[in-house]
Amino acid sequence: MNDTVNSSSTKEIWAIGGGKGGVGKSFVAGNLGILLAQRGFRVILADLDLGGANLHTWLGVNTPEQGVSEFVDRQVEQIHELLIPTSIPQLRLISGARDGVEIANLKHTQKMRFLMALKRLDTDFIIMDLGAGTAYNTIDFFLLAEKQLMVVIPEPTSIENAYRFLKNSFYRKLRHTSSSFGLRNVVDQMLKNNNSFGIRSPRDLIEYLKQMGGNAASYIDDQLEHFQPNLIINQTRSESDIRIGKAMEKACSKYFGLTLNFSGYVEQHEGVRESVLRRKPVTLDKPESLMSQQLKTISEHLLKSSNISTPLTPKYSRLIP
Amino acid sequence: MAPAENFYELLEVESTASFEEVQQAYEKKLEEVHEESLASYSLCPVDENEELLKKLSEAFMQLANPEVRRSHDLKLGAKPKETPEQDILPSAKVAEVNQEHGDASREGKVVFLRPQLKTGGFSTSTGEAFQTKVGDIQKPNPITKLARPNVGASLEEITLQSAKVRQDAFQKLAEKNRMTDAKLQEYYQFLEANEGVIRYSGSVLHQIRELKGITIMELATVTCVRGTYLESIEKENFETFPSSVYLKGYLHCYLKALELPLEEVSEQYMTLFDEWNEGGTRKNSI
Repeated sequence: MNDTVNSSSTKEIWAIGGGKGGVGKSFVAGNLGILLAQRGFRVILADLDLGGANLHTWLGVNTPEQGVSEFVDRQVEQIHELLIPTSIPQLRLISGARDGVEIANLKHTQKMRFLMALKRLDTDFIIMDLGAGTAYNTIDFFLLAEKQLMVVIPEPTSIENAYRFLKNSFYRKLRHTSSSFGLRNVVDQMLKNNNSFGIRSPRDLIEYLKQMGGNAASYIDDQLEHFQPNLIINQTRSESDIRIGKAMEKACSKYFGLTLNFSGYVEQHEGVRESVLRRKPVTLDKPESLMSQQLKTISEHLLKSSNISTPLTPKYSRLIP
Repeated sequence: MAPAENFYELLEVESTASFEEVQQAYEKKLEEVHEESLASYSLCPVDENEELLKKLSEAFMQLANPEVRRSHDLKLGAKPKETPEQDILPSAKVAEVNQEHGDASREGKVVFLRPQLKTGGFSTSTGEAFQTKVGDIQKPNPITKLARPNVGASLEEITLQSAKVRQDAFQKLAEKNRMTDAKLQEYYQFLEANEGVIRYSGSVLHQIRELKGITIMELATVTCVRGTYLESIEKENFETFPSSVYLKGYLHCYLKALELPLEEVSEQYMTLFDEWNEGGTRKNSI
C-alpha cells in the first residue's frame, strides 16, 4: 500500500482513532469537520466505525440509506453516490450506518477499492472516524491518513489502549513499507514474539535498526519522521488531566521512542449530553461555549501543520461533485 | 535510610521551608507522580513509580516529624538549619521567647532560635549568621493564603497552630505506641496461638490500631493520608486506589505511624492485593 496521497489531489485525510470506545472519537471527528467547513474548506466526514457507526446522529442526519457497506458490497459502484449533504454548507458525510459489514472483516480487495475511491474524491479534507479496537483494517485506514489523531480520556484503560493502538500501528507501518527498502525479512523476524533480537517495544526495534546502519538506519529515521500522531485529551476535569498530554508525549518518547504531538484538550461538560440529545454538535449548538473554543483551538493547531492552510473560497463550494 | 539522602532535594523544597510548604511540595510531587504514572500506564515498569512514591512518602514522613527533621538536618551537612525549627516550636515556647526578646524584636532587632544540639531544646541568639526574625516566622505564601481565607488569625498564628497540632499528634501517637507495646505482644501471642502464624491482613491491622487506641483521624493527621484511604487499607477495598503504587505508598505511611515492621507487613499485605488483582481486571503490561 502506498502511504502518500496522489499528488494530483490537494486533499488531506485526517484519521481519528485511539483504541478504546466511548472516548469521543465521533465527537471530535464531527466537530472538527464542522469547524473546518466553517473555515471555508470542503470537508467529507467518513464514518468508518462500521460496526457502530453513529456520526450521522451527531450531525442530525436521519439514518442514511446508503453507506460504506453498500459500496463495499458493490450495491453502489461510485463512491460519490454515498455522499450525503448535511445542514452545514461544505460538509458532507459518508455513512457507515448500515449493519452487516464489520471493518475487521473487510477483504483486502474491498478495502483497497474503498481507499482508492476515497482518494479520488474531490474535496479539501476527509476526516475518517475510525472505530475502536486495533484490527488491521482500522490501522490501515489510520496509516493511510496524512494526519493521525488519537483521542484519549485521562483514564488508565484508555491510555493503555492508545499505546497499544500506537504500537500496533507503528509495527504495521513498518511491515507495509519495509519491503521497498529490502528489509521486510529483517523486520518480520524482529516482530515475531519472543524474537531472538530481544525486541519488545518500538524503541527496541528502532534502536536495533539504527545500529544496523546504512539502509536500515535511514529507513527507520524516515519512518519516524512520518509517524507522529497527534494526541487529543478529551473529558478533562482538572489541570492535572490536561498535563497528562505533555506527560504522555514524554512517556511515549521515553518508552516507545515514538513522537506524539499533544494537540489540545476538551473539558468535560454536561453540554455534550444536552447536544447529543438534541442531535446537535456542540460547535453548532453552542459555538461560544468553552468546549467549542477548545475544539476550535485544536482545529487551528492541526491546520497549522497542514498542507492546506488557506481556506478555498466559494468557487469550490458546490456540494455535489 | 541512607544518612546522606537529602529529603529537601527529593521534595524540591527549600531546607528552610515551613511544615506547610513541605506538605504542599509533597502533595505537588504526588500529583506529578500520579500524572506520570497515568501517562506511562502500561509502558513503564511499575517499580519505577513505586520506588519514587515510597521515597517521597519516606521523605515527607521524616520532614513532618520535628524531631526526625532536626536530626536529618544535622546529618545533612555542615551546619544545622535554623529556620525550620520555628514552625514546629510549640507556640508556648515561641510566646516565651517573644516575651523575653519582645523589645528587641519590636525594635526590629534580629532574634533567633537556635537548636541546642545536646539537649534538643532551643536557645536564642542575636548572631549575624541567621536570617529570620521571630516576628516573621512564616513567610506568607500564596497557597496558604488561598487555602485559608481570613479566619481572624494572622498567618503566623495559623502556622504555629497547625504546627502545634501536628507536633501534639506526633507526641500522642508515639505515646500510644509506647504504652500499648505489651498489649500488642499479647495480641500477637493470641494470634499465634489461634492461627499458628501472624498474617497481616486488613482486619489484623484494624485490630492493632484499635488496640493501640489510635483513631483514623489521628492517623490521617500524622500521615497526611486521607482517612478514606487508611480505612480502605483496613477494609481491603483495593478498588479505592488508583494503582498498587498508591496502596503501597499509603500502607507505608500507615505502618510507620503504627510502628509496625515495614517490610514484613508490607510484603504480606501486598500479596492480598496481588490475589485481588489477579482475579480482577487490572493488567500492567501490553
